[in-house]
Amino acid sequence: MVVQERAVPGEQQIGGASADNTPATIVEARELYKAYGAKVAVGGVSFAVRRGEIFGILGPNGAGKSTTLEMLEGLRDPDRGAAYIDGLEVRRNKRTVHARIGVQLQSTALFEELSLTDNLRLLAALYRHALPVKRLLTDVNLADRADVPLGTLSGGQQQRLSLAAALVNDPLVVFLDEPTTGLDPQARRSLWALVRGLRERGKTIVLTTHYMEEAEVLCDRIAIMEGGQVAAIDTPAGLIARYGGGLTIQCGLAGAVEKVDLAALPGINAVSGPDDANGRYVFTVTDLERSLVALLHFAERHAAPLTDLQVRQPGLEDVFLKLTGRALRD
Amino acid sequence: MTQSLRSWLVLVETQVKLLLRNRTALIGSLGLAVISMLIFGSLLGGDGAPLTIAVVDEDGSPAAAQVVAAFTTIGGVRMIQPAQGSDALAALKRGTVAAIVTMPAGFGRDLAAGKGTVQVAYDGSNPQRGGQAQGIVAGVLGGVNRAITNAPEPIAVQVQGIDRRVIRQIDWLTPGMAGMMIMWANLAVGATIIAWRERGVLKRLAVTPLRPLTLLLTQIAARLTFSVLQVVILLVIARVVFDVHVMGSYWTLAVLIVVATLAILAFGFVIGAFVPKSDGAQSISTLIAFPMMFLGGSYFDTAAAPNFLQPLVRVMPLTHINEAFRQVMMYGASLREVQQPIAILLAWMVASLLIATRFFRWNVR
Repeated sequence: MVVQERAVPGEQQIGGASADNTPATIVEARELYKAYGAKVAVGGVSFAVRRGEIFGILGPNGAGKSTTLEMLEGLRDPDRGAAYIDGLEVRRNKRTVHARIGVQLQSTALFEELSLTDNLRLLAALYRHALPVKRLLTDVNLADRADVPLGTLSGGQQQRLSLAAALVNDPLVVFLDEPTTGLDPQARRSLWALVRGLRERGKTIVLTTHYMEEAEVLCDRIAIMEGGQVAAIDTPAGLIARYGGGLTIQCGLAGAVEKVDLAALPGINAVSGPDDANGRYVFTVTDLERSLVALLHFAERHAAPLTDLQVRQPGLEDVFLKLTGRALRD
Repeated sequence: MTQSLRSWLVLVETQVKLLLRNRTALIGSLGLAVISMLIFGSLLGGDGAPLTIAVVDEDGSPAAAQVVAAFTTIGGVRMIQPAQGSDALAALKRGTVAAIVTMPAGFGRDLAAGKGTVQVAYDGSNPQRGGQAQGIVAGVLGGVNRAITNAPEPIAVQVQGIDRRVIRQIDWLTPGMAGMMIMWANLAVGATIIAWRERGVLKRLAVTPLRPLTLLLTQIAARLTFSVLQVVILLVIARVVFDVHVMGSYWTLAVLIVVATLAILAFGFVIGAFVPKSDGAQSISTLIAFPMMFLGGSYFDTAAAPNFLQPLVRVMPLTHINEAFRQVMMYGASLREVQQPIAILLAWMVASLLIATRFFRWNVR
């Protein structure tokens, strides 16, 4: 494989979901549309992934993440629109594109009866240029299991092997479809470390996930998908700043309290509650310090004891709730 | 070029490894074949009671006497000469006679005119013996024919030499076992491909530069390699343990193995095209293979099967595989002499491939 000049990630600013063909873009979805019968799986999705970034597609099951990924990989042809990888239209250049990408599917999807070495050797034989099998296994900490049948590995080990399999051809872009689904927290962290290692080696990673934490901790940028549409694209911090709704204070307030009085307190933007179930109020604040002090004084003045006080930083859950009107459950 | 050759070799090697890992394919077919040979070979072994053939001469001409004389010179066969055809028939029904050769009145005259007819009846309730007897009778009559038509001496001697061989149960069973093995090992190819589809292997390979056709061809190459290996092992065991010799050329045999394997593989793809799940395809394959093993004549001579079964028998690919194997292994037939079963098998293959390519799905959805 020819060594490519890699642009520094983040140099090029791309506005939202607009089509972009500058050299910094290595993967592009342009108005991708796919329907199965009457059901629209992906309804016109566009985004651009920059060289060297970890790009996450976050959404619940059935949001169209996998179908989008499969159209980028050339596994499915879009009904309308087009996918581009490294400047090539995927549908018309499948074999060239396939030589440049690495793919990890949701299932391990290899030969369970064969050893890890045999599995990787088979894949390596399919490419013109391939990395040594030993090195691939070492990179994912499976060198000591090289000769055991794939079927005997644990879930986490299988996912690691499947990652090694996606790297056989030293690809430019690595696609990971729900790479940590079903893994325990420890196995999940070890896989995240491997994925970050890939980014350090200059690879571009596109992954799907329905784990908020994974998207927030691992990804440089995220596209939030729901119902076959992209609802928003940005960095995790950018999304939270834009859609997270700011800091909130949550607490219970005993005694007779007028909601209008609470809303008038300094530093407080809005009040909701009390919640029917637990009697708690939620204060959206503009200035944490001022609002906290004001709230404490208020409680003292009205002899209304404050209970179970919490200050909450918004996360991607809040972004998702705001954008789609429903919670994304892990 | 070297890259694609390397891909090919690794792909074939991988798939042979997969076949070897699959215990059912290996033990289920080769094991069954060897065990069958041990059981049937020793139970009904060639050293048992010699076959009895009744020769009835209703003609009395010198030509008929010549035929009778030919039967007396056969080793390993006892010939009796009942006075009447009805006596011979009774003996056949009692099971003491394996076959009746009758030269009807006028045989000598017809023969002189160029078309003498000999009637052969054999024991249908005991197809082993019947089959053996048939082979022997055919051999003897062939020899007589050549003698009468004054064929050049060397050919007559050679052919007679082969035909004079006593055909034992094990000689008859071995080719049938080879056919059965090829069927068992290859009919489930559809189930294999479906299992790959189910486990996402096909999808995984679809995101590499591999072409689906290459995968298919290497799977076929691996199966062929595997089948040749199996037959070689079988023949070595047959030779060492049972002293079974292959009369025909090994090249002819190799061609037959290839044609037989391809025909069965194509049929396997048809099964795979119509059964959506791998478990189901596996069961259907077994469900088809099991009766075919018997109706295809691997164990018993199907010429003796009742008339209503004959159309089924004749349409089964295994029937033709076994016939061709027997012709080549037992009687040393050349490729030309087995062209009919080969043509039928190729027809099977082409028809199956047409159906399979039309209906077989590589991907889910």
